[in-house]
Amino acid sequence: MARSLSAAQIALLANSKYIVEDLIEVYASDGTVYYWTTGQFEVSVDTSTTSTAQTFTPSNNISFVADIIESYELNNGNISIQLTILDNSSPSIAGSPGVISKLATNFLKTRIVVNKMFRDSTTFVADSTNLIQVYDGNVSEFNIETDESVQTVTLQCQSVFNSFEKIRSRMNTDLQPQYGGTIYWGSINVS
Amino acid sequence: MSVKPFFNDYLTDLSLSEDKAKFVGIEVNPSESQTSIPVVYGFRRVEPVRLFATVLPTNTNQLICIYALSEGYCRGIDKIYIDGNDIGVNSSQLQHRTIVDVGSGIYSGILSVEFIDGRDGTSATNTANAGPSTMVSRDLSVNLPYTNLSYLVCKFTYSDNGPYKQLPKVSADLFGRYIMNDITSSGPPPTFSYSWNANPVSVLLDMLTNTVYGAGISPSKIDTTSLGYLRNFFITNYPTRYQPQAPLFQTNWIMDTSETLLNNIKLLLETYQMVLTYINGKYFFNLEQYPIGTGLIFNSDTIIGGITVQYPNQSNKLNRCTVEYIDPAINFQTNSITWPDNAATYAAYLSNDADIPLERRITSNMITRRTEAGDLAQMTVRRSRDQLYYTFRATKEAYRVRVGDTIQIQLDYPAINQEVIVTKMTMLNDFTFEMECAYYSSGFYSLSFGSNYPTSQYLRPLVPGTIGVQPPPIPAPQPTPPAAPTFVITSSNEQVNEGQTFTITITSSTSSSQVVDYQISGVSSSDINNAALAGSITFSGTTCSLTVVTTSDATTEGNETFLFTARLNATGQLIGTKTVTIIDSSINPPPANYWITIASTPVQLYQPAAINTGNLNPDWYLGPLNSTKTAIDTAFINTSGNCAGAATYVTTRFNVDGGAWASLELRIDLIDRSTSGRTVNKEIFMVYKDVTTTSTIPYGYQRQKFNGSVASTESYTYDPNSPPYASLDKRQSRQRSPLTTVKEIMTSIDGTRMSGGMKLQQIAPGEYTTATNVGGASTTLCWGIDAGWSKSQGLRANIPYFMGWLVPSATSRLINVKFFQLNSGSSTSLTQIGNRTFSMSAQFSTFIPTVYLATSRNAYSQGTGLTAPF
Repeated sequence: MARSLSAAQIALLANSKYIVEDLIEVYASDGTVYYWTTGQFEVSVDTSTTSTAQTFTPSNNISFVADIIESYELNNGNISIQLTILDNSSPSIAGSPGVISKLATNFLKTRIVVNKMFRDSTTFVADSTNLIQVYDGNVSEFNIETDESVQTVTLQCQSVFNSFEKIRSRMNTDLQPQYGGTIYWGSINVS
Repeated sequence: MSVKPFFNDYLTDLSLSEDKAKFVGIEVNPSESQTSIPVVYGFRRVEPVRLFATVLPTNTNQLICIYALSEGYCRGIDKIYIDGNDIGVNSSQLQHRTIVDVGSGIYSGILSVEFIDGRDGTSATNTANAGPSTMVSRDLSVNLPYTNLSYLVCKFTYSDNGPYKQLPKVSADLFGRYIMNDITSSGPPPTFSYSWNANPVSVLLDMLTNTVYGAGISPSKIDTTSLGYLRNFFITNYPTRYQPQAPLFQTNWIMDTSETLLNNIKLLLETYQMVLTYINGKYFFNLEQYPIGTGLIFNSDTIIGGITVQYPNQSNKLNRCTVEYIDPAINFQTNSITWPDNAATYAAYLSNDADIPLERRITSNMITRRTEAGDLAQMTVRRSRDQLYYTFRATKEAYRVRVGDTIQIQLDYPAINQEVIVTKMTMLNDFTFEMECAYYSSGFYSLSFGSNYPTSQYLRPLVPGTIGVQPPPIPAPQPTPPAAPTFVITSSNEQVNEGQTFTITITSSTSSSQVVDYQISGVSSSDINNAALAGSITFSGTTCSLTVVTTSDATTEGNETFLFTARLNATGQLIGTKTVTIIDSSINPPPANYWITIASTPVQLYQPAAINTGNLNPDWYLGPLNSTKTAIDTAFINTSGNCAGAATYVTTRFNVDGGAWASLELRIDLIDRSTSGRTVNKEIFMVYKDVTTTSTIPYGYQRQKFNGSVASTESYTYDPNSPPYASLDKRQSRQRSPLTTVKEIMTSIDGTRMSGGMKLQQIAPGEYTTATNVGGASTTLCWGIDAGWSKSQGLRANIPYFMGWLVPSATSRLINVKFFQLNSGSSTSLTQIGNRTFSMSAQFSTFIPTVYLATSRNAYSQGTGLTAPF
């Protein structure tokens, strides 16, 4: 069944003059929250996950790479967010000093929420009301790649179905009590 | 041989090897080697896992064995077999925690059994009698610690002449787990009721949410709408060709928990054509056989670039398929059925495929009915032969659909007009989508199949007496539910003006007291009299209704579409939707308690014409200051309350002049008697001409407000960055007509010379200073134009001017408005060219007119000493 979208959201989806920017919320394990946008302008938005309006900061250092897949196959939903530091001596991203260490700490608890925000390409006015949330998940991988002048931090969010790969069951040996040794039942040796 | 399940390649690559197919339950080792505890759904014969065995300390001829049947909580046991022999105990005897001593047959006196159903004492199962085995506690003085485990306790008594020659082999016909029966609340988090059933979607939900062997997903992440949709499909479709009548699908499955959960879920999904998707934090359910049609059309406007169409190829096209299934009729052994089930059809397929046999063999360990297996074979062949696949990239509008929905592809080249089912969507960074779709036809699926399968066809013969007693037939499924009611949603009005009321009515084909949950979208609560946007209504008989009062909010917001969506509270089933258009009719309404009417005498003005609603070419209008209106909207006329009885109101328009003239404006400030003398200091109407060639905003004005002899002056100077009307009154500013070229000149009544070159002076009733007597005998306050002075300041001749004055009679309540022009040449006199009387409502005892004298920029000669505001 079609998604539950408002009439305004449907109208925005159908109108080609509206371009889309990503609003990325990264909730670090220590409670710090980072608000970044892939757009060119700073924008103050109250999303469904923020309790009040928050300022999303643009940064050329951030690239959001996401092929969010919905499929019959149960392996969808992998996304990654890359944070690129152009200067190794200044480990600050989008005005957020210490972001790498914060995100690296207990990164499995780091939550990422991605909203799509529409902007009128003719007036450059952002529609901060009719957001569409396209992703809400936790980080499963954290990688840093370094060369002479650039650090690239990648946060990878895996599909929830990945956890289904594990075998979850109880074995007869998990259940107590267990009786060992040889049992003699009548004239029958039960082993 | 590795075989693929019935799905085609676009679905999954899951492949189960034949050695994984277990037809009599999990191959359990009766010894104490490590074995997974299975999960039993529906009804199956199981060979339980032996947990332990021991002899009684006081009697080594008595052996007690504990067998794990299934993860609990299970409904019960129908029969028990020892070494293939029915022990003669039925389900009514095998009650939870009840010791049954076998009293007849070959096991009489040497066998006792006890069934523990696995209830854990929680509200989700059964809170009563959740204790351990009675027999073990009694005979071994041990309280077994098992929780959520359905198990069987057997006590075997050995005798040399008895039937036991080795450790007995036990099997049982088990009614499996209690699983979701219905959605009792959509939450969040949702809650469910439980029953023993074989609904595939209930099995899937159990696998997703169970914390022992399932994914342990919180119910709050389950989309109950799509879950309820599938549940209803599975319990309401009873094809007549199924004899005895039964649901289209049943899951009778011993789930191998040593397999990954992912593979088990895939197996279930593929067998019943279900689709599970995780979207934005929630799990959604779809059914390929019964998709939701979105009605969305994808054409050259929404498809970016080209489209790829893939036809069935030799690797996935079939001309015959055989399905192996578990057959209770032959002691739950394997049976098989093949489709096409007649030689002619197969020959035709084979001929079309160049006589190349294209066959597939599918093994299912959860199908136990021959008809269902035959359907699966037929579906597999039909889809493989005719299903086309489409791949294209779509604009962001594609986000409206979800995987499992159907859409329509319409293209001229290549010529495509096809309903397809969305099988995969990849959201790219620019919010476009890579779409993968498959041709959808209801003819592919079992609900459309018309023929039955003879039970004798392809059935393996039974060998009497060699495989034990015949098992009972599968217990009847849940009682056949009544035919699903149908619903119609109507509205008393398809569209309403703001302030009006309409009623949404749901009519059901059956009488009930069901509760309906509704949601309202497209409008805000403030648009509907602050009513809630969600709630419930209850059927009384065959109807239920909701009355909606729209708000006359005086806000310019455009028409709105009120969308009413209704679902059954009990199941989440979508009943339907209804839209009602709310016309934005309350734009700029007047204050509630005053108005002005026009006297019945037609106006005579310059080149006069009577007030005429039918004039097709009007130059002049009488109407509110509103750029979007050409006349006073009748909706602005209040005919109720304090104003009741005032029947004659402003009509529409009247002609004055066809020349290039600008605007005349009359504003009247009123005191509303009904609100304790509150000054309603708003504009009322204006007389203006629609001049579209220029658009000049006022430069400024002065306004004289007076009450009797007391006057006060308000003045405004035009600031290009702050239009004067905006500072005066926001509503006036908005209503200012951009079509007029207005140059207003306001005068002070006391004779102060105005900057624009005109002067008014107070005159005595019945006379005028230089020319025309413009006052009447009853006039107490009268002003006239000092024509000579004004003319010397550059005021043009032969141009109409306008002025008005108060006739403060309590009975007449008239405003007399006359129109003049300066005579040409050296004359300093005026000529009256028109006369108009406005009558106030009888609801007002007093009113304070503010006289505005207005003319156009063209009325002045440029460069004749005129100062500001020019």
